Amino acid sequence: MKLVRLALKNRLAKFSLTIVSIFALLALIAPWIVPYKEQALGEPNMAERLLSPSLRHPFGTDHMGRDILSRMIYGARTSLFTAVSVVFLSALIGVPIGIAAGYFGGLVDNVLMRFTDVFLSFPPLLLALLIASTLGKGLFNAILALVITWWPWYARLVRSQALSTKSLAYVEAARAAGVSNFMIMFRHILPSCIAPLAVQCTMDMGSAILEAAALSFLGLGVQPPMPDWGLMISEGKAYFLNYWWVPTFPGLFMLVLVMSFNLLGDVFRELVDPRLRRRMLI
Amino acid sequence: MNELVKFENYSLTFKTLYGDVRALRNLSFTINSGEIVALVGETGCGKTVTALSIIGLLPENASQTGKIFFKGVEVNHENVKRIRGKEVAIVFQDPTSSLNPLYSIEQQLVDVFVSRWDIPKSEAKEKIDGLLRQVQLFDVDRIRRAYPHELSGGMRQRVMIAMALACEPSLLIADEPTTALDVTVQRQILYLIWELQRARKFSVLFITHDLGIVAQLADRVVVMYAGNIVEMAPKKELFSNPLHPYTSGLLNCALDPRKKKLPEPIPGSLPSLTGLLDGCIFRERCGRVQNDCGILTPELAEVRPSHFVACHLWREQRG
Amino acid sequence: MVEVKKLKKYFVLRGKGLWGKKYFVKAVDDVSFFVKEGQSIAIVGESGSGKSTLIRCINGLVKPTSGQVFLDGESVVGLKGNEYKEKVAKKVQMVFQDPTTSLNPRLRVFDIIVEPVLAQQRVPKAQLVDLVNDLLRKVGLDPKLSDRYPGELSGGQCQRVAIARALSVRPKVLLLDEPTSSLDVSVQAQVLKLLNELRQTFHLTYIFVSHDLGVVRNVAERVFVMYLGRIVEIGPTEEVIDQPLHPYTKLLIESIFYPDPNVEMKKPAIVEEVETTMNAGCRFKSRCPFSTKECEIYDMKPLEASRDRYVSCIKWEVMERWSS
Repeated sequence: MKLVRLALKNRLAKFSLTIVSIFALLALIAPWIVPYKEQALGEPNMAERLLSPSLRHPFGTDHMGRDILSRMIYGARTSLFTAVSVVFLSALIGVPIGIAAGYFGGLVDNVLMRFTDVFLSFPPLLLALLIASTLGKGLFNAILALVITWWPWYARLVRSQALSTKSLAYVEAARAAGVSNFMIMFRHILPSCIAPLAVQCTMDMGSAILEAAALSFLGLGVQPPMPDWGLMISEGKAYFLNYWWVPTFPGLFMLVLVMSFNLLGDVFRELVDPRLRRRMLI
Repeated sequence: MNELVKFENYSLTFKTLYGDVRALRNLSFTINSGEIVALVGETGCGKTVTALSIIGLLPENASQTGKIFFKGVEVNHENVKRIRGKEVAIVFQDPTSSLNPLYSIEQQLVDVFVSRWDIPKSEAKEKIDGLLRQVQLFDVDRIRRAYPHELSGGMRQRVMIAMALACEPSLLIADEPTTALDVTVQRQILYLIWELQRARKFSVLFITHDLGIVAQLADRVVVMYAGNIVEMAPKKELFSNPLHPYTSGLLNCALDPRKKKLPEPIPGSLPSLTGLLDGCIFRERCGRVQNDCGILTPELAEVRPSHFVACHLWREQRG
Repeated sequence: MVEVKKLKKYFVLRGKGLWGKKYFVKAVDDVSFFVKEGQSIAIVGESGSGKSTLIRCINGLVKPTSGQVFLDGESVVGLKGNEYKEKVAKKVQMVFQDPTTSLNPRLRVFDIIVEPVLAQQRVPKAQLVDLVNDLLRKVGLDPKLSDRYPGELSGGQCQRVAIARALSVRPKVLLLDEPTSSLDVSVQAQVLKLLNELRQTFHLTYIFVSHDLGVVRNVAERVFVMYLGRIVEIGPTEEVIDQPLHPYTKLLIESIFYPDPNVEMKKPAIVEEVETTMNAGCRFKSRCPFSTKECEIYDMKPLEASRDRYVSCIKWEVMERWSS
C-alpha cells in the first residue's frame, strides 16, 4: 500500500495506474455496458459481416458480423482473469517453496530448488500443447500450463529474498527468543518478500497476458466463440489485408494494457530499490 | 601560516521529498597548510558533506550558498576537477568499496599516476615499488599483482593511502579511515598518516567521531553539531578548556580505559535538520540554556586566542 | 550460572577449485569458562577472534561442533522446540550490535517487545500492554512510542527497544554483542548508563562482547581476551587493562587512543598482519616478538598467573621479569 501511495507521486505511474484501472473497471462492468452482449459472447450476426468502423460499430464487425468493441471489452475480462490467476496461483505455489528453501537452507534448499529447476526447464508452449492434447483445450488448461512453468520464478525470487532476510539480526533475535520456525517465516521472512513480489507480479501481468494470448492465438487457450484478444487476432489475421480493423483493435488494446503494466512494474521496482528511489522522488 | 582551504559562510541544503534538509549552516573555517584539522561530530552532523563539498562531490539535490576557497581561488564547477584527485586526495571509511575489484593493485596505482602526472605507463610502474614501501607494504611483488579481495582490510587501506600519496596532494581528506578496521591495525594506519604528514607537510582534514584519535592525531579541532560549527580550537586548548556545552558533554562521554568513570551522557538526541530553527541548535539538550538561546542564533566568535565558540554563555568575553 | 566446557566450533570451508580441499576455520577452539550469577564479564577481541560465535553458542544460535554449555547446571546444547524455550530462551536473551537490523522494520515497537513473551505462552492483550509500558519506562522511553515503527526512532531509542525486548521474559542472563558500537558517542554513554542501572534492578548476569576497552572498563568485572578462537587471558578488568600479561593483550592496550591530548603519538610495535594460522602451537606466535621454539608445541593451556588470573602464554613470567 505504501508502494502505491509513493507511486502516486510519480506522473508515469499515475498514468499507467489509471489505464490499468480503466481496463479493470471495463472488465468488471462489461455485461452492463457493452452494446451487443449476445454478440460479444459469440452469437453470429451474418447480416453485418466485416463492416468498417462506424458510429454503430466504432471498431467495426468481424467475419461473423459481431461488434468488435463489445468483444474487446469482454476480452479484457478474459485477459485480466487469466493474468491474475496465473500470477496469483504461481505466487501461491512459489512463495512457500521459496521461503522454506531460503530459510532452512542446506538439504531442504537443495531438494526444493532442484525440484524447481526441473519445472524451469519445461518449454511453456510445448507443455501447453501436451496438456491440451491430454486434458483438452480450454482456458483453464492454458492457465494450468502457464502456472506450471511460471511458479519457479517466484520461488527463486522469494528464496533469494529469504536468504538475505534470514541473515539479519532480527531473525536471529526471534530465534533466540524461541519463536518457532513457522512463525519466523510468517512474521519476518514473508513480509520482507512482499515488496519485491509486488514488483514482480506487476511486471509479470503483462507477460502473462501476452503468453495467454499467444496460446489462444495458437488455438490452445480460449476456444471460439468465447471473446479473447489473442483469439480475435488469430481469427482476424486472414482478413487483415482487406479488413484491417478486425485484428488491429484487439492488438492495440493488448499493447496498451501490457505496456501500462510494464511501466507500473518499472516504477514499483525503482521505488523498492532505495538506490533508485531517490531519483524517482526528487 | 597560509590558508589552504577557506570556507566562508558556506551553507548546504538538500531538497528531499520530506522537505529541505539544512545539512550545513554558515560554515566559516580554514585549513592551513601543513596542519591536521580534525572534524569531530556525531552521525548526521555534516562532517562528511563538508569534506565532499571541497571536492564538489555532492548529490544532485544539493544547493549551496557561500564560498569555498582553495589556495585563494574560489572553487567552482570548472576548476573543481583540477583539484579533485590532484590537489586534494581522499581516503574513505571503507577501502573495499573504494577499490575496483576487477583490477590489480598495480593497474589501479598506474592509473592514478598516469591521470595525475600524465606520464607513460612504464614510468608509472617504476614508481609503484617505492610508493608501496612508503605505506609499509613490503611484500611489494605480491601486492602489485594482488586484487583487492586478496588483501586484508588494513592492507587495502594502506593501498588507498598509497593512491592518495601518488597524487602528492596538498590536502588529504581522511573520512573515518579506520572505523572498519581492528584496533591494532587502526593504530598502525593512523601512525602512518601522521608520520607521512609530518614528513611531507601536507594538510589533513581528518573526519572522525573518536575523541581518542583526535587527542593524539590532530593539531586543531573543529567540533560540529547538526550542521553547525559549535567550537574550534587548537587540540590542547580544546581538551583542557572546552567552552561549548556540547563539547564538554562530548568530552565527558569519551571513555578512558585507564580509569573507571561512568560517562555522563548528553540527554536527548539530534534535532531534525528539516525546517529552519531560530536560536541555538543545541538548546534542547543543553544544561545551561538561557533566555536568548531560543531567539538568537549564536555566532562563532573568538573568545580566547584562536579559540572560537558559538554560544551565548561566552558573549561578554568576545574581543 | 553459565558454564562453558571445552567448546569448539569449526566452520568447514572449501579451497579453491571444484574439488578444493576442505579445511576448517576454528572460530572457537577449546574454550572453557564459567560466569557466576550476577557477574558482568566481557569478551574482548578483534574481528575474527570468534567472540560473536562464542556467545551465539551459549544461546544456541550457533550449534557447537563439540563441547558443553550449561545454564543453571543444565546442559543446553542442541535443545529444540519447547525445551529450548523453557531452558534457554527464558533464561538467556541477547542484544545485538546494530539496532537498525535487529528490529524488524515492519513491526511496531509493541509487537517487537512482546515477541519473546508470546513465543513462550499466550498472554491476554491487557497484560501485554502493561508489560510493554512498564518495560519502556524502565529503559527510559516514553510508553507512547509503543505504536511507532523502528524507522521513526533514533539509533539510541532503537537500542533501548532492543533491550526492552530482551528483558521482556525476565531472563537471568543478557548476552550483549557490541551493544554500543554502532551508536554515537553521546548516545553510547546513555545506553551504557542504562545497562548498568538495569543490571542492578533486574539482578542480571551480563556477558558482553566488545572491542572497546573503554566500554569494557565501565561495564565488566572480568575480562576474557580472545585471539583466533582461543581465550588468551582471563582476569579482573582493572588488572588486565592496567597490567596485561599476554603479549596480545599488551598489543591491544598499546593500540588504545586515550582521549587525552598529552599522550604523544608513538610508533606502534611493528606487527605484520599475517594469514590466519590454525596449525599447532600458540596462535599468536607469528605475531609475537617473544616467540621461541617452545611456543610451537605449546597447546595454549591456561596458566594461573596469580589469584583469579589466567594467561595462555608460557613466556609470561619471563616477559614480566624482563619488563620490570
